[in-house]
Amino acid sequence: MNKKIVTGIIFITIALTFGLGSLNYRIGTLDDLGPALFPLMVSGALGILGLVMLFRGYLGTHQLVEFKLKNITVITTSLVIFAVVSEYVNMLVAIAALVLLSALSTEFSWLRVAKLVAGLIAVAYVFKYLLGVNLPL
Amino acid sequence: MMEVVNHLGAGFDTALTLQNLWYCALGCVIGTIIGLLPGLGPIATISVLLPLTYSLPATGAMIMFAGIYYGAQYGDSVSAITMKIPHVSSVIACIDGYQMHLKGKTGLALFTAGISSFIGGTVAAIVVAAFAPALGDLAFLFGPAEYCMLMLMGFVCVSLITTGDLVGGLGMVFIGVLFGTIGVDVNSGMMRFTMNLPFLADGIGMISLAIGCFGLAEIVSNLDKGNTLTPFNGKIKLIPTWTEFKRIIPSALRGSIVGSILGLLPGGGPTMAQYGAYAVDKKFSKYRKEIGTGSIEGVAGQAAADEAAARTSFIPLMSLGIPENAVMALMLGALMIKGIVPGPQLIDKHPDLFWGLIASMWIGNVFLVILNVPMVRFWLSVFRIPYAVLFPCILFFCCVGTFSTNNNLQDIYTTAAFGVMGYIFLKVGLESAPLMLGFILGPMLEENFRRQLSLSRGDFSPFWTRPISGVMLMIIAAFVVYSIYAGLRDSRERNH
Repeated sequence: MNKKIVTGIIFITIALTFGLGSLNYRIGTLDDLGPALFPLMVSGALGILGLVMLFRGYLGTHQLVEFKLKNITVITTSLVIFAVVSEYVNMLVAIAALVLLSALSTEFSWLRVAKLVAGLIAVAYVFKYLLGVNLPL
Repeated sequence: MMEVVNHLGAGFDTALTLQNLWYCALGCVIGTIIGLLPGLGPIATISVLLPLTYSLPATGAMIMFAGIYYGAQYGDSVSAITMKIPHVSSVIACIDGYQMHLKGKTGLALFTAGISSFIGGTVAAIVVAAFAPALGDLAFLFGPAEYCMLMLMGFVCVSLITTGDLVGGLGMVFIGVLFGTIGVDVNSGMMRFTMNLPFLADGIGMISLAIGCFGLAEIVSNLDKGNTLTPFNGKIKLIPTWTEFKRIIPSALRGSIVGSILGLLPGGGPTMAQYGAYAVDKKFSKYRKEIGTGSIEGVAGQAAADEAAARTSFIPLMSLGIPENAVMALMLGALMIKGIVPGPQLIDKHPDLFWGLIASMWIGNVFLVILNVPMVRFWLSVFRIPYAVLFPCILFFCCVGTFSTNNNLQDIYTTAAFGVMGYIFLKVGLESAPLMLGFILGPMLEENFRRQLSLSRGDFSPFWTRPISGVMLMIIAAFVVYSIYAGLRDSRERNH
């Protein structure tokens, strides 16, 4: 897909979400503004910019969007797993899970994973006992 | 004048305490490292470290973040000179610096960059000390209308300069402003856009947004590129001859002045300053014919301007409370975490913070010269750390940073979601820096807008009838007209 058109769609979607959302609140009068007016104005401006982007996308050169799903999926999943494991087991196991999972997006090596896990666990202890960060270790 | 000297003296007292020296040194070291490494700019690093602000004193935190900021500028120029890879902003250092490196004058280039940064930083420290309080006085002339216009002017300039595309940049600013409206509306107590989710009542977490958009998105995009690092193993001769040294000074002084001025402008900062200084050197230097082929002037001027602009960009933040780029917006965030409101009263109310920061910038400069010039060989070995080792560590820091803000593991999900969003923005060619600026300034913009309208009973005219506000409105209009004109011209050229 054309980058400019995708940008335009993103802008318009966000503008519509906030613009329509703000209609639930009071707009007020000009000398006594309600909570809705400011977001409504900004959404309007954003919507116009979105239309300009769409227009430019139809006219201009076509630079295409290339998404690579693998890395973003791996990284997002490893963060979520980190939070879940920290919550239900503890953060030491979560560190191992984070390093192991995220290593999938580069060349995998058990030795490197082991070294990183050991190193980060040491860092976590430093955070907890020297810097006083309240980590669930 | 005496007053400034007295204040600076007190500032040095603050900056020279053991604790603050340590924060300054730490900031410089972290800054240099991240400047050298790919994929971690000062924005990402400061956002990851922002939660530390809760446990540090305000002055210490600001000193450290400032150190990271200007340290990164220097580390970046080392990477640009030796490998022609700038990660942050040292685009210009790639030209002459890299040419010098190819000619075997790596040491000389690094020395020139180091000393010029030092000169630039010193000049800028003097400028900040002399002008920031004066600008603070000017700020008393600012009413809500002026603040609105100043912020809008900042939005337009930042969008145009950092992204080169007004429509895309402004769009990102507005998205940031809209994200900033989520949560309780201060004026009416109404919950806005919270979708009845309790964790949104206080608004979106600034730290989650910053770490997601800058930290995570950056990591993924580096992984996509399959980043490979080439270790540097050259021999280095550092100390220049006297004739070489003499060539550094005039160019560095020119760069310092250009940088100090450009750093003050909204949307200005290091990148613009480098271009400016390089252009000035090309026009006025005695050796202007050599510039571009690896001349000392080509390195000295831009390095001095880079460093000078990094410092003077603190002036609008400290005296008006308006950050002019994304790094400054994060600094504002750090101050707000500590309950300090930047603005005209900041310098009077927190003199130790302001003057201590200025003094520490100069001390930081000395640190950087000591750290970098003799120890360049050591720093270059940082390049040997492969990305596969680096990024899991950064990921872990992102998690800890998010978690420690509220001691809440669920915030990590929010960060991950913003990471996905930041990645999508990156892939369609949108910059996240204007978004951050809009997010942090949005609530201030809304408050001043509403205050002005209720002061003038619903009348919009003060925005253009008040003189300062009117001038700023004209500048904004000029920028908009210019960018429409430039856009039309480009599309016409493409069609022919």
